[in-house]
Amino acid sequence: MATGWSERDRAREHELLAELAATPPDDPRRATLRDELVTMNLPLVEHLARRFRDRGEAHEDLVQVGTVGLIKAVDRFDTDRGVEFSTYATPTIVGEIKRHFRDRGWAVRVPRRLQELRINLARATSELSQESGRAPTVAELAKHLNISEDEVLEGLESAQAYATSSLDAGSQDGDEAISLGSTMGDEDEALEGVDNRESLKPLLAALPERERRILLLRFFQNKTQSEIAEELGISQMHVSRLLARTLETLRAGMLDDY
Amino acid sequence: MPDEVAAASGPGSAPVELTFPASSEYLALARAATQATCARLNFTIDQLEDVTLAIDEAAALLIGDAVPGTEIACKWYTTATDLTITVTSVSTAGRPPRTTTFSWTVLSALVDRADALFDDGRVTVRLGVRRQQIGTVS
Repeated sequence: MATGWSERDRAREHELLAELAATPPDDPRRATLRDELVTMNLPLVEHLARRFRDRGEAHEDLVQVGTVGLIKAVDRFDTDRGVEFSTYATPTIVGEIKRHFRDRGWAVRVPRRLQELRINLARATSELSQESGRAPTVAELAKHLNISEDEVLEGLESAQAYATSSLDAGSQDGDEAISLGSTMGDEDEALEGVDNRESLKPLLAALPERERRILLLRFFQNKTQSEIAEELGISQMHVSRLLARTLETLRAGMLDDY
Repeated sequence: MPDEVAAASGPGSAPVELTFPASSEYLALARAATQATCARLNFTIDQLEDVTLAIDEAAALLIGDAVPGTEIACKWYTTATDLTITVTSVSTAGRPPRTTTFSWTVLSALVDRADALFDDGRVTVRLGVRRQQIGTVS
């Protein structure tokens, strides 16, 4: 992917790669050559990371792991192979991004059957909640959808595991349309009495608005997941997943929280 | 109440137990066991997901301070009125987790009762959830 690259850029890349290949491993100049190669190929990483948008991971995170792949590609590239560097680097970068999803327990492709199961579960949960004024049980969902309880559990688990796709696709616009306003005031009040709030604040500030809102509604205003789902116009499963992910992010950022 | 639930909730029913290495990559096992247990107890989806988040949080909390190479032990106790889950680790902390942290705020909000014990190098977080009698729909 050399779109936007001039002949001069391409020539410079060849020059750098040749120079890198000719530089002994312990030569300090390697780092400079490597940096320039990585920097000039960052648009390739950006481009590849965008292919994985809507899978529930922040674009910046994907660029970051993709860059790791790029660095590996720079280190391993063999100029004698006669292929363009971008051709060589692309599978390495994509591989690194996919590995990231896998490490997080998220498969990149969601089996069709599970996608449908999740959609049906989300719909049934909403219907049954409206009927009875409370969230349904697994048994009720199974009966309603005429499937086994194990299948319901499998669907719930996959909703948790797969960070993405058709289930939420329809709500994407709605999500952004919600005007959430500033929650900073609520936050200060909510965190009173939490003794590690100072390390928490920057982490909360870095959360997407909707995630922060869900966190506050659930933990400080004591709303149920179903109530939050209704308030934000998304599915209960989606709320649950966002909460799980937000808590994981906060845990990772607050290692002293014991 | 379905027969199987009634049977499981009788006094003295043995707990479900799960032991896994103190590493976050095993959290999915604890989550799956919690979901299955909650489903069997006829919890609503809201409760089920909350308790699952709670076990995740509790286990992650303990994993953070576990002696490397040790295990996390989870037990799910069911009675006619309650589900109690204990999560135990071999801890480097020498004390139970503080209850004034954000993590603890989260735990307390997700379950009806949360407490922590420290004994002989081991920390146990205990989570209690009341089983609510819910009416049937449809």
